[in-house]
Amino acid sequence: MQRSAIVIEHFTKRYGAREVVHDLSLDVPAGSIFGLLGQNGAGKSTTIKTLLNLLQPTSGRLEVLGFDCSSQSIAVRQRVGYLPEEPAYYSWMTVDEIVSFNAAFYEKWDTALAERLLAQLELPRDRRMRQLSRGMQAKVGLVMALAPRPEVLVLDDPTSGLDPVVRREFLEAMIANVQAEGGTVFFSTHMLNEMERVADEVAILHEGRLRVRASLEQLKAGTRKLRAVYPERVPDSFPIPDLLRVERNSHQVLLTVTAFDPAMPSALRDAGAESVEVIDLSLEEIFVETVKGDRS
Amino acid sequence: MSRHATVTLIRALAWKEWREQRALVVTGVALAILIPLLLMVGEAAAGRPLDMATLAGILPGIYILMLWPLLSVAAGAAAIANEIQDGTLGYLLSRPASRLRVWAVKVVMAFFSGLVILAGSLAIAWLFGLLAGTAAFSEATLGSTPLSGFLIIPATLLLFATSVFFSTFLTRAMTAAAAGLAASLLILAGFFLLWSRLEIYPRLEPEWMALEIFLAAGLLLLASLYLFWRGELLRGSGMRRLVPMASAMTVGLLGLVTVPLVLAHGRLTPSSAEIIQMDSSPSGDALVVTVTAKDRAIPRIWLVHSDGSGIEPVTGSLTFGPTMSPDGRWIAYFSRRGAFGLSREFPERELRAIRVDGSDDHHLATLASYTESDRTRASIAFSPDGTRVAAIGTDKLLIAPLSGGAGQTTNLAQTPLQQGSIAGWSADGTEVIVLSDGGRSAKDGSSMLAAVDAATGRIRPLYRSPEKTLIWLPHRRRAGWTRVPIVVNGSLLLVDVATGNTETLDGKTAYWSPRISDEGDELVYALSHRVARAPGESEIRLRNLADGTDRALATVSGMAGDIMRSPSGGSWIVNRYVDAKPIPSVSISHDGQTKELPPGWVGIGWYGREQVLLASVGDGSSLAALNATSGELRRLFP
Repeated sequence: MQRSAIVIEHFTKRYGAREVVHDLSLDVPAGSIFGLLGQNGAGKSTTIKTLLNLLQPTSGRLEVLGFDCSSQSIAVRQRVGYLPEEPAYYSWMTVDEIVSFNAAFYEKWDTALAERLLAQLELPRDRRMRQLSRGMQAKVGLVMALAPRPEVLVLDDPTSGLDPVVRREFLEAMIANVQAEGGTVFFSTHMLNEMERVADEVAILHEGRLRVRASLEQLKAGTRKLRAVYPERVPDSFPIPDLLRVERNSHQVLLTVTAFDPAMPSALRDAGAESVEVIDLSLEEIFVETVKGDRS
Repeated sequence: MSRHATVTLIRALAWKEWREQRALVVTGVALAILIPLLLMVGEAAAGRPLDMATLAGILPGIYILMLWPLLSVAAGAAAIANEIQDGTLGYLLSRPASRLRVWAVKVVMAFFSGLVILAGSLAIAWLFGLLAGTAAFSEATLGSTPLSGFLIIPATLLLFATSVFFSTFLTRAMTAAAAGLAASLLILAGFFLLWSRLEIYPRLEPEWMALEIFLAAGLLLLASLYLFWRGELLRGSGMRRLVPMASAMTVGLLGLVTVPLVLAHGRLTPSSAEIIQMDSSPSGDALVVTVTAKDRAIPRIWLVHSDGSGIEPVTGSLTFGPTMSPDGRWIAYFSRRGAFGLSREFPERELRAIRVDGSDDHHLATLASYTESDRTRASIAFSPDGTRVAAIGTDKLLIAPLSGGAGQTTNLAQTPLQQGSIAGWSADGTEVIVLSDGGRSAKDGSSMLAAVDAATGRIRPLYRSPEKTLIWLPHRRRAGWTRVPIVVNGSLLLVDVATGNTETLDGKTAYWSPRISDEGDELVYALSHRVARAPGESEIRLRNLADGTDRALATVSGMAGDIMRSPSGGSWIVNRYVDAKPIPSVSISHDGQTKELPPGWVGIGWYGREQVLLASVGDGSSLAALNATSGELRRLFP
C-alpha cells in the first residue's frame, strides 16, 4: 500500500459565516509532486497554512507524515520546507544572517547544503535582504526551505511575480533537491504550464470544494472535449455520462467529459450527430472547463 | 528538541529581538543625554541657570518616572505589532518553534530593552552626580523615597504589559503604544477610583495597590499570550472575534481574583467593623467612633445616632481620633489620607475638622510625628468655646483655629513635659492642660501636669509627681478645668489650674475614679477596698466643691471604674471590675438606690435624661442604649 505524505480528512475552514474550505478530503502520496489548482480564493493557501498550523481547522483532521498538524505542529514543521506566496523576511538581516537565524530552528539543518545552494544560486551573502530583488529573495527562501532536508516541500505559489527564467531555475532546483531524496512536493500555483511540466498528481479546488483529484495522466486522458454537429437543431440530451460542461448553439454542441471513452463519438453519431470531433485539452483548458463547468 | 538545540534557538530569537529593539535602546540613551542638556539650555534661556548639583538631583527622578515608563511602552508596543505590520510574523510562526517560546522571548527582550535604557540613563545621572561632586543615589535619597514612589515599578510593568497586549493584534506600534498608554491610565484610574472612592477593603495601602497592579499586568500578559497562541496569523476576522474574548477574559479573571477579596472583606459594614475609639456629643444623641476592619489597618470615622436612626460614615479611610466640639456640631480628627486616598508618608498626619453632617471638611494643621502610642493617646481637645482645637502628636502640641487659619506649635521635646497627652483646656480657654507620659519621658520616671499657654506656648508646671510615680489621667472635660482631679499613688488630688495649689483628699485605699460634674460644682469619686479572694467593694462618694461637704452615695461591690452622672444630676452609672475584669455596671439614684445593668456591657455615657449608652465588654465593638426606667435595651451598633 502506498504511503501518504499528507492526509486531509473532512477539512472545513470558516471565518465567521464565510466558509473558505468545505469538507475537503485529500491524500498526497509520499514521493509525489502534487499540484493544487484553483482560482484566487479557492482555498489553496488556507489549506496550506492549516497544514503548517498557521491557521486552525474549523473541523476535520490534517496530517503530515503521520503527525497531526494541530497538536504536533512543531514536528510537522521540522519535516516540512515551506515557501509562502509572498514571503516577508527581516529586511535588516544580511543573507548570511537570515540563513543562520533560520538554521537555529531546525534539528536536521544541513549547513553544507545551505552553503552549496548559496553558491549555486549566486546569492550575495553580505547584502541585506532589503537590497535584494524579488527573485533573489525567493532564492534565499529556497535555500532556507531546502537546507533542513525536508521530507515534504510545501509551496504556496512561490514563483508568482518571478520572471520566467528565474521561475524555471527555481522550480528545477527545488524539485531536483527534494525528489533526489524521495521527498514529496505539495504545491499550488496559478502557472499551469509549470504544473503540467512537473506534477504527478493534481487536485482542483473551486470555491472551497474539491472538484477534481487525479493523476495528471489520468486527468488529461479522461478530460476531452467533443464537438458534435447536427443537421438540424441540437437535442436536449446526449448519451454521454459525466458531462462536465455543455456549450450549444443552433447546429453544434461542445461537450466536455471527465471520463472519456473512445465509444463516445459513435454513441453521439448514433443519436443523430452528423460529425463528431475529439479535442485534446491542456491542463489549463481542463482547469478552465472545470471552473466554468462548475458555474454552468 | 535537545537542550543544546533549545539554547541555540532561544539565543537566535533573543539576538533577533535585541537587534529589532536596539534602535529604541539607542534612542532612549540618546534622550537620557539630551534631557539634561535641554534642561540646562532651557533654564539658562529663562534666566535661571541650573547648577550641576540640582540637575544631578532631579535626573534620576526624570529617568525613573518618565523616560523608563514611556520607553517601556514603546518597547512593549513594538514587540509584536511591527512584525504583524511588515509580515515577518508569518515567516517566524511557520518555523518549528512553539508560539509560547517565541512570545516569551519577545516579551522578555522588550522588557529587557526598557531595563537597559533605565540602566543607561541612570549611569548618565550618576555621571552628572560625579561631575557635580554629589552622589546621585545616596542611601538617604533612596531611603527617603516614599513607599508609594516604588509603585512606579508595577505601574511601568502595567504600561508595558498593556502595550504588549495591544501589540498582539494592532498592526502599528504607534497605535499599540497610544492604546497601551490610554488603557493603562484607565486601569490605574479605575483602581484609584475603586479604592479611594468606594472604600473597598483591602485597598489603599501601596503594597495592596502594587499587588493589584502586578496582577492586572500579569493578566494582560496572559491575554497577550492567549491571543498569540490562538490568534492564527494575528490579523483578520479571527482576531476580531478573539480580541473581545481575550479582553473579556482578562476583565473577568481580574474580577474573579478581586471580587472574592471584596466579598471576603468588602466594604466595611457595622457587623464586620471594630470600634477602636469613641466620643459622644454633649447631649449624648450621637456617638462618633473610629472603626476598623479586623486587622485594624485602615481606620475611619462613623457617626452612630443614639436614637437608633442609623450609622453613617463621616470621613474616608485612614482617619481616626474623632473628638466632638462642645456644641456637638463639629468633629475634629486626624487623617493619614493623602493624594488619591493613599496613605501619607509615615509619620505625617493631618488635623482636620468636619461638620457632623459631613460637610465643610477642612484642613487645620499638619503634624509630622506619629508613634504607636499615639493610637491610644488622648490627642485632640476643643477649647471650651469651641473655636480652637488642640492636638498633640507625640512631642508636638498644636493649637489651631477651627476656622482653618494659622495655628501655633509648641515643641514639647525641649521642655520638661517632653511628650504627653491632652487633659483638656483650662475653663477660661487660655491654656491647654497637658499630662506628660511619665516613665516614658522623664528621666527620673516622674510625670507632670502642666498648663501650656495657648497664645505663647509658654509652659507652666502645675504638679510634678514623686519619682517613679505616674499620674493617672482623669476623664477629659469639655467645659474646661478649674481644678483637675488626679490620682497619684492611690491618693486623689485636686490641682487648681489658676494657682497650681494641690489639695489632697483623705483616703487610704487603692482605687479612685474622680469625675467633676459639667457644672463644676460636684466631684464624684470612689473609695475602693481590695479584699483578698473577694470582689472587694467601692464606696461612691459625692463632694460639694463649693463648701467641701462630702457624703457617701452608695456602696457597691467590686472596684469602681468610670462614674458618669446623668444630665439631670439625679443618678450615676458606675462601671465595676473584679480582678480587672468587668462585672455588670450599676446605676445609683440620688437617694442611694442601686440597680444592676445588663451583664456584658459597660456604661459610656448618657443620652437624654433616661437612656444609658453602653458598649460591649471586651472589644467594645457593640453599642446599645438602655432605658434606665423601663430596662429596655436597644442595640445601636452594629
